[in-house]
Amino acid sequence: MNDFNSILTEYNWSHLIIISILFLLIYIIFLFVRRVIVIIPMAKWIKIKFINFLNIFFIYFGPLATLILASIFVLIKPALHGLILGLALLLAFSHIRNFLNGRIINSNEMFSKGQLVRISDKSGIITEIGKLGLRIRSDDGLHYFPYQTLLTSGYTLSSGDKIGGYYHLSLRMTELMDEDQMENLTNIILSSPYLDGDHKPEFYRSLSSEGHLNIKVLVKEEVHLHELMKLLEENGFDATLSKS
Amino acid sequence: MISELLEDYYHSVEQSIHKVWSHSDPLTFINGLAEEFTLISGKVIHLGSRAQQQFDANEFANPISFILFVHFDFLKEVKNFLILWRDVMFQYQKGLVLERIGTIEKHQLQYVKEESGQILQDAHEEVKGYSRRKLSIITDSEKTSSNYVDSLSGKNNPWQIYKQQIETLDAQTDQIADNHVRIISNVDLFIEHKIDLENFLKDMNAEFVRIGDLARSTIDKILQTEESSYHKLILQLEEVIGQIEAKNLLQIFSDKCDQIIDSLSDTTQISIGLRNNQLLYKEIDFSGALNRWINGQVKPLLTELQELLDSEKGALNLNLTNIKNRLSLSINESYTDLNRDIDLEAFQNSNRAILTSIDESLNEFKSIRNLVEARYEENMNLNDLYDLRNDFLSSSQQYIFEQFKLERGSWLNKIGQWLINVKGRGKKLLANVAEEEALSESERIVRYLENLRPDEENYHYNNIFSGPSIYSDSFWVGREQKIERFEKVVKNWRLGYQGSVVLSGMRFSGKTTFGDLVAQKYFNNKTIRVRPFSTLKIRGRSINIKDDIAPVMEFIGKYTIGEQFLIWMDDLETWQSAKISLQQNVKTLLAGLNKLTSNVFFMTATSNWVLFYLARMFQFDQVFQAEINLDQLKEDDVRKAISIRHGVTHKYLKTESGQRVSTDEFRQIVRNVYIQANYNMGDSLNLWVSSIKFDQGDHVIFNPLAKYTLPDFLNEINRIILRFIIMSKGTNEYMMRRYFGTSFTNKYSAEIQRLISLKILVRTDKGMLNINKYLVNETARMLDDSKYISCKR
Repeated sequence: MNDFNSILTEYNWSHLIIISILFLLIYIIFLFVRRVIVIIPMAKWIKIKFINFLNIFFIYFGPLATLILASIFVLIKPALHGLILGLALLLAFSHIRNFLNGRIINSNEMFSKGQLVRISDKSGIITEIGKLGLRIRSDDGLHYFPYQTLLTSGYTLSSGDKIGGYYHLSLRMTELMDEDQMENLTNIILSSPYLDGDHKPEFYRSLSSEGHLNIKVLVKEEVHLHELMKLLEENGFDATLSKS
Repeated sequence: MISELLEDYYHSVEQSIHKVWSHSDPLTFINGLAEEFTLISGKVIHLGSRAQQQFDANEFANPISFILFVHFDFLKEVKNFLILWRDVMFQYQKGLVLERIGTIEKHQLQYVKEESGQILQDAHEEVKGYSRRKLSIITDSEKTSSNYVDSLSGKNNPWQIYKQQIETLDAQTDQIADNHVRIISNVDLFIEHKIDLENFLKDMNAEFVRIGDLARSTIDKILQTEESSYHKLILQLEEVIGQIEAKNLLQIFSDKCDQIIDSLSDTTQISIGLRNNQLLYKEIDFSGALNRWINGQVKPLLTELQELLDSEKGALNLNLTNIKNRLSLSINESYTDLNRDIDLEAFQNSNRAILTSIDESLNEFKSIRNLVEARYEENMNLNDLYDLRNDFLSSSQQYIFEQFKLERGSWLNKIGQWLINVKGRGKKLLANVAEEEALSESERIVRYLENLRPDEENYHYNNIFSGPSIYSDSFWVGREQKIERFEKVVKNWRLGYQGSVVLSGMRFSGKTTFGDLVAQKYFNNKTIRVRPFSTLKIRGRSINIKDDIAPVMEFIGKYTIGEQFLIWMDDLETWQSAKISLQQNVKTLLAGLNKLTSNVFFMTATSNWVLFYLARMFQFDQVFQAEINLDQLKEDDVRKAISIRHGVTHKYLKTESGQRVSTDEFRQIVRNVYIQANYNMGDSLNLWVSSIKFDQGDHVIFNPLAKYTLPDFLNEINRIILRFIIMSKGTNEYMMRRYFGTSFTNKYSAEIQRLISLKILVRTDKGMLNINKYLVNETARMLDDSKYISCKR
């Protein structure tokens, strides 16, 4: 019990300095490793896993080290240092929160410069990915969104291969298709390189519009959808995008 | 009375000597020596104790000079006599060991025994004579007695010291007797081990000769064969192949070794010599010493011998199997589209080459054998048991300990030096990183491919590894479970169930070879191989196949009635062209399969990603009784495959420095290749070929490849192109234009040119575009990471 109490209470400035140096050394070593990993010979899958580990490390190491050092700072002189730290937290709370949220959001590399994104009622291109928030240029000017806003209001990515999806195509038929034509259409769709192989296209008649055949397709990128529609057009099928 | 005890002692000694020397059995003699020593020393101690009692109690039944004589003079002489007795016992025991080893003859030992008996007898007479004379002088008169006592005044009574010494001598003789049996049994075990070794080497020699004789006999058989009797030759070859494998001699020898090591004693203290009346000891861990020595000095050499033999057996096996398979193919009418001309002279020459290799290996075996024998001669010398300077089967532990003591003081210097080295290496590493980062993606791709390019001068060697699939029974190793599974499906089919199997795997995982082998094993002469743009023949009728499966299925349905056949459709994804898509053909195939009668067994092979796609789109996998995936492969199987192919080249492997690659190094090299190739057989063979450089003479040089990583060159445009090409296993621009539409010309064709210029795509002789064989599996993995295909089953 005495030992446990001493761990909690017996800290001084030398402890703080030593632990700070230790954290710094660890950080420098990991920085070095991240720098040289590119030429270290290892199996690719191991390298990828290691890089992911390094990314996670860099996301959480800073806040964790700060937390530990802050705790030790407080434990040196609990009353005085606690007061100082409390005041600092109070003043900088929202920035700290945005900083931490930003690290988490950016850890999976969702955002990149030039990407189209919609946040709240604003839609625009990302011009800057900061430590505390995103800067977006829309038609009506430059907007700044702290990361906390992204988490509370949500966001929509509007381009990039992460937003492929299901689309419904509507084919206008001037007359009923016979079996051979249907076979031909099915073959064009199935053999087209533009479809995502994870989902088999579905054919169904539209209830709302007579004379239309609907096809539900899955594509990896929106541009592939347009290329598919062009291919259909070249083969004599008039396809338009219908509401999904 | 002390004088009575004295006489009793003299009498006992004479009786003991007579009793012990009457034993002819060596063990009884040794034990007798110990027992009688105990008896005699007991009497001496009793005598001394009685004298001491009288002295302490002032009860002088005998004159005091008598008592002092016993302690000061008599015991001194007796102690020396007892030391002589002990030494005689030690020397005889040592003689027994040396006689067992063969260092001395039996008659020499007998002579020693008789002589030592005489010496003891004489020594005893001398002690007795001296004692009696001395005693008579001392006790002659009061004056002489008094003078004697005065001469000893001021001196400490040595009785306790002599007593302790006599007791120690008694313990030593007991120990000599106790250890004798243990030492002899250990010596016998060592002798047995040496005999085992001699037998092992003799048997190995005989095996080499036997394999050589088998190779020789095969040459004769081939020489006598005519074209009409190929069947007979096949049977003869099968018989010879069956005779190649024999028991693993090294394993048998190792097991015996282990038994002997287990039977040997652990640390035992044995007496090894005499110096200044002291008996010298040595602690010997017989079991541990032999174990360490065998594992350090002998087993690596014996393993090399076994590997040498296995390599020759493997080469002979492979060669004969190849010949047998070639002969089988030539008489199988289903393979008429392939050129399978039989060249008997080539067969003979290949066997002669193997015979030459066996003779060379036999010479190498002899030199290794001589080395092993020399080491035994030098180190396993049982005479060293009694060598005061050298350890028996000395290990390097003492040396390591000494080195540790020397170096302990210089650790700090070493740490400092280490830090300096680390700093230097760190700087160099950062410089390399900067250089690496300066490279463009294209430069990295080119560097990666150039690293893998095989040495063109080495084409003979390379062809053996990367030529068309060769049938080999070694292929079966590691595939037994798959084969059993296939066999089960075939059995069920023969019982009336539907018979269909799909083989899947990454590229170069061995799907085609597996398919060909099971076709030959279970459907010999009943296999119908179906490929696009070929001719199909069934029962004398033929059809020209193009790119449409429909007529093929119809033809098969019509002409396979009444007989059981295997339809073997390799590379399913190649059934597509600009006119007919794979999807159309698959639909036709699935419909056709349902209509085929139960006398047709259907087998197809395709890549993992194609199977995944077809499963999604057409529930393709549900049509088949079994899917056999060939991706899982053990390191041992790859090592055997490489080892056997390398063996067939009849080349030695050397490092760049000119050193011959040892067995352990070979193992490590193969391991690295296996890991770098992501456990794929075909990629492993390709990587091996890339690592081997041509050199003059009978060897090739192993040049380890730099571990470059292929950069991720996929982008939004080429992902879709590469997916299309990898799914079709070869295409052309015409076909791509058909399936991509005008977007191909506007957008994708430029990217294709770029990929061709980087050699990511290559054009075959027939103008087809394909992914570079060194990149295809890696590209598949990248596309899998991007979720464009799925290549895991």
